[in-house]
Amino acid sequence: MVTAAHGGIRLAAVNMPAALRGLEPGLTLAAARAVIPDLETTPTEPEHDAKALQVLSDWCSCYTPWTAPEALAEPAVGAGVWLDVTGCAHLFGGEDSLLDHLLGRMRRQGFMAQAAIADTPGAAWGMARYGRAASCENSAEAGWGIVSPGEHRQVLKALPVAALRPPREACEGLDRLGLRRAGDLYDLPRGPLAARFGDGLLQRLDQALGRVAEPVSPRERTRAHRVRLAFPEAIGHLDDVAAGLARLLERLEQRLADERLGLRRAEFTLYRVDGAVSRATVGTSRPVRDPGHLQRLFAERLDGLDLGFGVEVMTIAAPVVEAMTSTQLDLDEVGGQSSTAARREARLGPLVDRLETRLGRGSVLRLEARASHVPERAGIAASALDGRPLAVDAAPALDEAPPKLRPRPLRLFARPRSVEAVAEVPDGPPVLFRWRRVVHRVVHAEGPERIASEWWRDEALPGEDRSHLTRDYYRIEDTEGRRFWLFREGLYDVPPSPQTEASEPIRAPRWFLHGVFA
Amino acid sequence: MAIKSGVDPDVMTTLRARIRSIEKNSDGLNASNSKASAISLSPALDEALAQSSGAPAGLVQGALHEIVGTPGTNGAAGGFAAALLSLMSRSEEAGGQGAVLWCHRRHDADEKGELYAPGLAAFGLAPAQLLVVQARRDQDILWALEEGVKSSALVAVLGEVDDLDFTASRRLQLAAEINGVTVLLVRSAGQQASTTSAAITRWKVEAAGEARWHLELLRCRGGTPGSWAVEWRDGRLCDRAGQASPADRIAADRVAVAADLRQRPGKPSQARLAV
Repeated sequence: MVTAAHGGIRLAAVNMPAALRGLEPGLTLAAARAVIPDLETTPTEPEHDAKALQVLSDWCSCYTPWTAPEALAEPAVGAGVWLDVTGCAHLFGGEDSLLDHLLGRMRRQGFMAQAAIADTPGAAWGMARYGRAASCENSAEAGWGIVSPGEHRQVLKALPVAALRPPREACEGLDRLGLRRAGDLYDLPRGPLAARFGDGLLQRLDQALGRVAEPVSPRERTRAHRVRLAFPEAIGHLDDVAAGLARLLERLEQRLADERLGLRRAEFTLYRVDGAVSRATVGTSRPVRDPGHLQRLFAERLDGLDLGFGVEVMTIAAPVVEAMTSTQLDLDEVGGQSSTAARREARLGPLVDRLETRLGRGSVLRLEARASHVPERAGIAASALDGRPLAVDAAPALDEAPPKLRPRPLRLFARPRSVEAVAEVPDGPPVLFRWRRVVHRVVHAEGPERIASEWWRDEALPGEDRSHLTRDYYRIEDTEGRRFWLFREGLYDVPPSPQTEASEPIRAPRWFLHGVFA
Repeated sequence: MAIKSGVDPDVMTTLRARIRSIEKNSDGLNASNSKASAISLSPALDEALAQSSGAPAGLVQGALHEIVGTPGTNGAAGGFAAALLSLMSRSEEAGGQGAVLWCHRRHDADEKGELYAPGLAAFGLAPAQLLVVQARRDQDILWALEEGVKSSALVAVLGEVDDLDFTASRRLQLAAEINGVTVLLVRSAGQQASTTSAAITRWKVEAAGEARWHLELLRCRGGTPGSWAVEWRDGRLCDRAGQASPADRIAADRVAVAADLRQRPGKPSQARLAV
């Protein structure tokens, strides 16, 4: 692997035969070619590396929910993934068998990997990379090492300075001074060290020794409600996955029921043999923990899941949970209207979930009447799943029965449609109008109903033209008995807005079709 | 091993009898299906829809009904359908406030306008009772309708579809019958002549003024086709004999508003204002 770095093309990584013949990362390509004339090279692909590392990090979350890929800074020291295995190791039979399992899987996926467990991230980092060189009693030949609690200071002592993750300049400087072991730094006065090599070195030293905390952010937020199922053999059939899902859902229901919670979103994660992760997510309109219902929701998603060469571990997590009292609706025999409505909502929930899962997000809507007299704001659509209005700037909810207005159309155009209309008198109703190349002759017209803008609002609706706001609405019936809701925009005879120059000619009124009556 | 060539004739006869009974049970409406209830529309319509003696008069519930509109933009077919949905959702079987599902294609909303809550409220359909599904294709609408019929959460489902073959309509009709949920299909006029369907009734609706329609019953299993003028007034369908003038209509509106305000409990001041 080569990369274009400062001072020409350099080696970024070498394979084992090349390393045996003395090549190492950082060497210029010309120097390398001098050693091995027929050296094969390929350019590095940092983006792909980063992506692969993220996938690997996701896959590692079958050991602990808390994983993070390490930033790819120095290709020479290899890429890494952080795992916080606090409280997880016993699930795998102890720390050593966890590491054994982890590395075995990684090797089968074709990674050359080393791992270490220690009290601090810094010590683990150093052990994973340089522990093999150090003669410690752990099974270094297996590629992993475990630093017993409290012994990191002792173990790190023998490791090279580079194991502390010092800045590159500091590392070179220390090397020139003959400070080659991490232990050499322990007793040096901190002041001159900081003055000479910068704060970075001391910070890394403190982090490795646990004097300073080193927070590492996990890639995925840890889910409190998560159940896991591991298979002795990888499974590759969708039916088996569905069966595993059913078992997971039952266990999740138990967990949620104990805490009287219901989930609003469920994440189903498959950890594949090839080191990748497949995910399916479903949302629900109300708190749910019924395994049957969730299974049906996931059934829509399972077909789209890529199983790769098989699945080893699957988990289901509930990232969004809400309080849920399960028996309340059935026992509530008293109460009239409100309990009928509550029961209706309870039965609609599963239907909404199923429709939304199959037809896609935002397909299932509830209509709502809102407190506004501007027609497009008085009736809005909201997602049936979470009740969020589709409109950006929705009017406040009605706190009482909607006011009795003049008749309103059954269907409303979200954006009024421009029509050509002819009126007998300038400020009267039209006698005919043309819309979509069809001429409608007006038989009856009722109106005008004048609706002005809501001047107290700051922002205009998207696409709303604030310069002419007053509308005169007419209910129009054509010769065939069809009824339309037309309006004329702006006031007649008055310049549309105060900003308009007086000398500007007054525009002819514009007519719009806004709705269709039943 | 020899394969038995003949089949026991008794087995065959019992199987045939079973098939017959299954077919009979699933074959639309018959007098034996005593569970079928009906929604009363208006006196004249009920008379035309009357089934054989014993069955209730009116529009049969738990069945597929087709409503055909006229070409071009108009809300008449949708309005009549909304009126039917409202009657069904407020029926006694639905407990006074049953939920209904309305499915349409997403791009139709651009053509025809979007369903408007205040307009639907005029037909007695409260927003809380209505679930709207926006689908991309006709197949998705049919799937959503069937899902709604089977869900036991709804009284009626409505779908605005253009393309519908006989098999699909038969499927819906069977699902409607088994689950006792009414299915309304609203179709534009273009396609109706070319296809047959398993619907129990087929209505043609033409606009005739505000919340007034000219109805034509094109087909009805067990009923008499005919045509009527009806209007929606005070939350129900009424037969209409003559043509009312617009002035009468406006006056009627005013009276209705005043009456409504007077009936509102606990708001005397508003009632005084309105009168």
